[in-house]
Amino acid sequence: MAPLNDSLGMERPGQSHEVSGFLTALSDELVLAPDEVTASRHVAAAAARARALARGPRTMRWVATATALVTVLGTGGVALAGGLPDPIQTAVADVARVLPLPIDIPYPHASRLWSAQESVDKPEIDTWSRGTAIDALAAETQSGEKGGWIEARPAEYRTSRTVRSWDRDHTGHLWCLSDGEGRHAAEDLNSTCDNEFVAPPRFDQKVDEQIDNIDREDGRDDEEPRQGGESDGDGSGSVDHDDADNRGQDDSDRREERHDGSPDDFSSTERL
Amino acid sequence: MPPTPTIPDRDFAAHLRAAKAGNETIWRALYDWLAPQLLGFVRASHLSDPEDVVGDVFLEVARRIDDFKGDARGFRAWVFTIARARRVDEIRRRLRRTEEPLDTAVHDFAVDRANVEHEALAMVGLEELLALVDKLTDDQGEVIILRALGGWTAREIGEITCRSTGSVEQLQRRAVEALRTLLDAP
Repeated sequence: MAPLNDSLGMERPGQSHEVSGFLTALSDELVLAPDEVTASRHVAAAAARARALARGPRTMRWVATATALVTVLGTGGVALAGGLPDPIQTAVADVARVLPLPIDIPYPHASRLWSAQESVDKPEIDTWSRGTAIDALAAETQSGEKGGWIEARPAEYRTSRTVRSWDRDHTGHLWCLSDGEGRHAAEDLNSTCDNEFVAPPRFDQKVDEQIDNIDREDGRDDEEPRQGGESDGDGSGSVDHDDADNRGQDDSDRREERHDGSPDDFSSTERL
Repeated sequence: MPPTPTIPDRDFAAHLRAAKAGNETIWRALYDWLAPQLLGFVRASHLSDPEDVVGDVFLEVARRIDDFKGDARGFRAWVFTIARARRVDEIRRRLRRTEEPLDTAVHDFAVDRANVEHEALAMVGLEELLALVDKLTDDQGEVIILRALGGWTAREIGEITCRSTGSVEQLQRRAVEALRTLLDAP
């Protein structure tokens, strides 16, 4: 042991004799090697842990890389199949459309329809209105071709703006294509031909307003000849009847009259 | 008497690299060097299962050895710092369980070491010696134990116990004075 009198700051060495002896005795009693079995166990455990940690960073990098690769490939594969959860699939599809990649990642079956509905200036109302898919199927059956254009006027239809194209994907789902703005899921023809394609209630009012706007702005030129004839025929006092009566006036006058009409004036039976 | 380090400073860097790589021979050398002092420190701290605690300390050393930078004496102090953390945890745990005595055997020991000769002191048992240490404050007892175990300097004890050198020297002086009083008491 080091000279305790010095290291312990003892100014009176003679009086620190017992303390020095005490510390020596304490050291002799305390310092004791563990038994061999215990020592071997401790050493093996410590060395093993050090080895594991020494390999850890390199191993973890490989694991992280492999995990990331699998995640990317797996997500990409699922995205191509359209099987990701809705918001993620939409985001991936959006990115895929922006990037110059020859990859066609579908949008989610339903949600993309609603999001497109909310985002475009001219909503693709026909893609989910009653009758569109049925008429598409009928046209497809008649022509023997898959995909194409259709001008449908089903009785339930609320508007004559029904010119749309459609296509099927490999799963049999019908996709309505409109104005080159992308694909919008309509419905699965194999299972829902007789179903109604009705928008969620929260969109109903908005869609009605949008339909009105479209009819006012540019629908009249296409629809008026037939609608006018029908209206003239039944002689009803509907908006269409008013349109017929006002034929020959300029567009601004007719728009004003439409604006003044009630929403009921656009009922399907009267229009069709 | 505490053993002197078996790993000289000039070789310590190579030993440290080998230890970090998990060389069992080097770990055995480190263990033989430090485990006896660690075991003494743990026993003096009244930690239960002292040998298991030493094993845990070495596992912790292995886990954190990649972060250590320094020489042999610094490494020894670092290892004792880890062991001291266990002691501090134990003290805190006992303070929370005040109903449990620290060590009934030690506390029941009557400290009547008056006029005890040096030779006689060396013959008494560990529990009796520790009973005297337990009469000191925790800080004083810690410094005395470390001083007795490893021949640490005040600066090294300060590194282990997170105190300044001056603070350690003051604790040493007070501890020695208290021990002297205890040993001289009738």
